[in-house]
Amino acid sequence: MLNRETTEVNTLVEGLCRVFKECGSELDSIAVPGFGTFKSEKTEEHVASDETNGKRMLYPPVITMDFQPSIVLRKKLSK
Amino acid sequence: MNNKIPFHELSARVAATTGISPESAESFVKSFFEILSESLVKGESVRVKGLGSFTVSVTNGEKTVDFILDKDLSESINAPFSIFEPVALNDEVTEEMLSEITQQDDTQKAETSIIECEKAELEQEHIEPCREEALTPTTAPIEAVKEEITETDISESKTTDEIIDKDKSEVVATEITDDSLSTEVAETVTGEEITEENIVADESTSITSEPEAKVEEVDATLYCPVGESTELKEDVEAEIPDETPIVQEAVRPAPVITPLDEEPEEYVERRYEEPSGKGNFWWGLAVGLIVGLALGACGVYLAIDHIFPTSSKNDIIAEEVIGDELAEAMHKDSVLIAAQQALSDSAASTVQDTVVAEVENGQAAEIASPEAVVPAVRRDTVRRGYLIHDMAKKFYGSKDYWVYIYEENKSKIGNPNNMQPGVVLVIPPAEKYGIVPGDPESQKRAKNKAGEILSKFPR
Repeated sequence: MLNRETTEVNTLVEGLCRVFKECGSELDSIAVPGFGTFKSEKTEEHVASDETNGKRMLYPPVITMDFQPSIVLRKKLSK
Repeated sequence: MNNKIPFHELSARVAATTGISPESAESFVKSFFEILSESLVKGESVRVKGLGSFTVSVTNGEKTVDFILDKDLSESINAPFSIFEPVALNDEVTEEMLSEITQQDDTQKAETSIIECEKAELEQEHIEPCREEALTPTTAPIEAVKEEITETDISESKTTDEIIDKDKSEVVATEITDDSLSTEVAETVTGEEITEENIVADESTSITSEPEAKVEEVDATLYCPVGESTELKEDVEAEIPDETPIVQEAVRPAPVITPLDEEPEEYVERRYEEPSGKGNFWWGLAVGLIVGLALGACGVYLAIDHIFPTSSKNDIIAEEVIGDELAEAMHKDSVLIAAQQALSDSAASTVQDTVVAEVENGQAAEIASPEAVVPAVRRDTVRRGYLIHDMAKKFYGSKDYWVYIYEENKSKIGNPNNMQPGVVLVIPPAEKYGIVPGDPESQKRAKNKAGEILSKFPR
């Protein structure tokens, strides 16, 4: 489908991952039509209890990237 | 920051990163996600190295896609926070203490801004604007909430059970009454979503998917920082009252302070003094130049006179001396002429007697006495009826002494028998040639010398 060599595909995928990294660092969202939206969110430092030892821990800030499938994809999945 | 990257920008970035053309990058990204979606539709889990894994899961009877970010990508995104590690808190540390610490940080920031403002001349006047500046970040979340609320208004007809409860929206909506701002934000939000909707329409779907996502986004933003609606309400209420007094204080007219009124006068005086100072400077420079030039000219004049002593000055002095001598001689001649006339009139007295008589009068003492004649050079002029013999008789008392006058002026006279009038002759002093008036021996020597001279110039 891509009609490309494997090395070329690897290079392109790596480039795509670099773009995802840049966008994630800047807390940008990436919208892919027909597939979904990758959204970056930053959680500030917070206190939470550790499940293993039960101690309260102060966690540093963390950036997470969530994926929200589009309606098109969800419809395809539900079929 | 917090931007939404559309598909064409994503493909453009991929093209820029990998160095391929934008068209090929766009086709690649499109094909890549099509393959992903096809695999997910088939129920397969897909793991892309460097990106993450996609798995299909069923939640509430509906299939969704779970995405787990790749570990490497997560670490690279969170690289700025990698220096921090989870810290175990003691039991004594409470959340209130941590919140106090954060509040202290905020107050320190505000104090630093106030301290900067205290450097201004009027402290009380500047504190209020500075507080406004310091508090502007607190108003920013309110504006963000406004934007999110408008999004909820836009998608209000399409919301589902996941939409935030109306209590929250009503609480926030009652607090915020700026309709114009909300409409503007609403326009921008709809503008952003047009691309999404168009893209979705191209894919033959009638229902927009992004509003729902927006609603969830609002939900997340409302829940994330606060956690409960009541706390959100309290925060909003706490922030808005803080904002209103600031506006009132900004509108309040500033008190009139006299030092401010005096300052412009000082500035005016300074502005007035500056041009005059420049004028004084230029006047002083001009006067200094003139004085310097005058002094320099005087110095140059004196230096030239000193370095190159002019002979003309000496000449002038010599001329003056000669002029004085001539005037004196003329005077003496006139005196002698007068004496001669007196002699001719009396015909009885001798020349010596007349000279003595003149001396007695105090006018021609030097002429009569040879000692007095020595220092001065006497001259007499030949004229018609007054020749060299007459001069000898006049000055030496006998015509025989003319030879000594001739000897003295030999170069001027030439032939003594043919003298031209107007020739000025120097009368030598009597001692020079041993003239003794009235001495027969002296007269005899003079006669002999006259014979010798006249032999040279026969008549």
